[in-house]
Amino acid sequence: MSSLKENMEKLKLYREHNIRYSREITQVWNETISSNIDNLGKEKHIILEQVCIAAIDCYQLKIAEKCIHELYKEFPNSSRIRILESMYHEADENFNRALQILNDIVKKDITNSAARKRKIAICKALGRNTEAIKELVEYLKIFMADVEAWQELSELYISEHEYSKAAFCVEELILHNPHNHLLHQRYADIRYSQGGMENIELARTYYNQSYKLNPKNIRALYGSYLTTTALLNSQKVSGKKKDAAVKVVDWCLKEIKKRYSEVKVSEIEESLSALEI
Amino acid sequence: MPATFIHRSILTVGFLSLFHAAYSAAQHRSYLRLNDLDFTHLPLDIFIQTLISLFIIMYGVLQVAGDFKEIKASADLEDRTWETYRNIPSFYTFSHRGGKCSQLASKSGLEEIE
Amino acid sequence: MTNIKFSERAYCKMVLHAAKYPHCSVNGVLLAKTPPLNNNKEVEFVDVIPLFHVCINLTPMAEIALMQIDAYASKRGLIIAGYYVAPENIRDDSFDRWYNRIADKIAVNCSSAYVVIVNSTETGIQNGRRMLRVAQYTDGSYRQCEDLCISDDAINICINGTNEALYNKLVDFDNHLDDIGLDWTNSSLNEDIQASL
Repeated sequence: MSSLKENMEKLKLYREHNIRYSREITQVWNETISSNIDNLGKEKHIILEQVCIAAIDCYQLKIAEKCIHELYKEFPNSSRIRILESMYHEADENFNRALQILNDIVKKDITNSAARKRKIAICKALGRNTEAIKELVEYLKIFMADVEAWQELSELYISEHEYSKAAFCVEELILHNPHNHLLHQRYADIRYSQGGMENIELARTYYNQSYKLNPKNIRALYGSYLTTTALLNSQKVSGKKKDAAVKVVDWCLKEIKKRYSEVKVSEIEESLSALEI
Repeated sequence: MPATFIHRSILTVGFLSLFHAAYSAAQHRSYLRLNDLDFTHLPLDIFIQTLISLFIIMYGVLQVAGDFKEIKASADLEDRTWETYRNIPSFYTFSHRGGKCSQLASKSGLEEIE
Repeated sequence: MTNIKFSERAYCKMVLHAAKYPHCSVNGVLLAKTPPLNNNKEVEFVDVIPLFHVCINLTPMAEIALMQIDAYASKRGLIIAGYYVAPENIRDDSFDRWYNRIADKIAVNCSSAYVVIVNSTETGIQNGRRMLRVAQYTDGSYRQCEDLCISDDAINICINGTNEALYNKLVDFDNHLDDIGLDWTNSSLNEDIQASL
């Protein structure tokens, strides 16, 4: 049994790192937090919100109900808690009720982006992905700087196999966040999935950039290897370029092997030999 | 590294010593004025004390101020993975394998299987 | 009709992978012992390799993974014969929706691929249900297979496994790429499953 303070630290860590550890969070709640709601101090409301979302996520609606109740006592008119309530109904599959609450919020305050996003999430939950995409595009016409929404749109497009549109969204994200190696890698992933020599060439550039931004990113390293090998196998490449490509492939392999020799997992290491074709 | 008591006291000592040096310098000037002498340079001991306390303060501040940040703009992002980056609470959906509809759906699925 | 058998190891790893990330789409490949030719009456899936949960529809890392898995499997006399996916949205459980190039690729290698949809809900696991739908994929069309053979042991291990959070031990290829010290062959989890038989 860990102490209240430790558990609060744990929840804070989850919040800061933004991980969806719903099961763990509800467990922590059951262990200590639930009996100590009034001892949480400054963090009380943020913890209640966090636990509420986690509980909804695990379909532990009793916990969620209690959190919402506690929060309403403090802030009877907050739209943020109204949204939590709508999420509660969503998890209970009462989508009409959830939508009603969200529509009310948007009617009162047309600038409330959180409620609009929830409406899009409901579309997604109902399995209507194309509708969700349409709504999200409308949303982005109003809130153009919303990075989260661009991110979500790109994921939706990928799940619908619309790679070129997804690539556009990621381009937008890169403009917002040019130093993020994850975005460069994702962009390259999408271009490679699209196929075609031009896209692979482009993917190679972005993998390299991603690797440059963060040499720890092994996906980028694998990506460089993969794209350069593809380049090598295509007919159009001239002699000089080919020599350079061979060198890059060799270097990538050497680098990958070095990484693996540092961690010593023998079974995986032997599978690596598959790469040298 | 968190600032320890020792580092804080080093910093305090440095500041005290610097103030002492400044006070000594002022004393020296007033001594010169009283004796109608021209000011040429500070006495060597005050000069050395000033320099030493400067270095002590520099060391103390470095220890107390906390860790440095990398100059590279991307350094903060290095340890981030897609695991956390793509997690967007405002777009959570709950019709997944841990939710309610799972119970209903699997019931109908059950009839299909068995 | 082909009779399809899942070993305890294969079934448990599949279900645990789905249980580890209940809110994500996850996928992976199935390894079978014999090359499942069309006229064969029985296919036995002895092992699975969990692949991705972050984004299952992008191909580059899947290619890297398949290359390595292929080498791993052929050393053990196994072949990649199937593809499983657990959809993010429990309602999306049609086979067409989860069409994937990996399934295509497998079908090229061994004449037909088996596609498994894992709908293992948390409550479903607790109640000991079998939550798989299997189809044979040949030339772009799916034929659902009804004869599944899963032992009771496998189902019991899954019930205990979710109670004891055994899924935290499972490593998929995405975990491996985030930290290459993690072993995607899951040898320690395999031993755990073997021990609880």
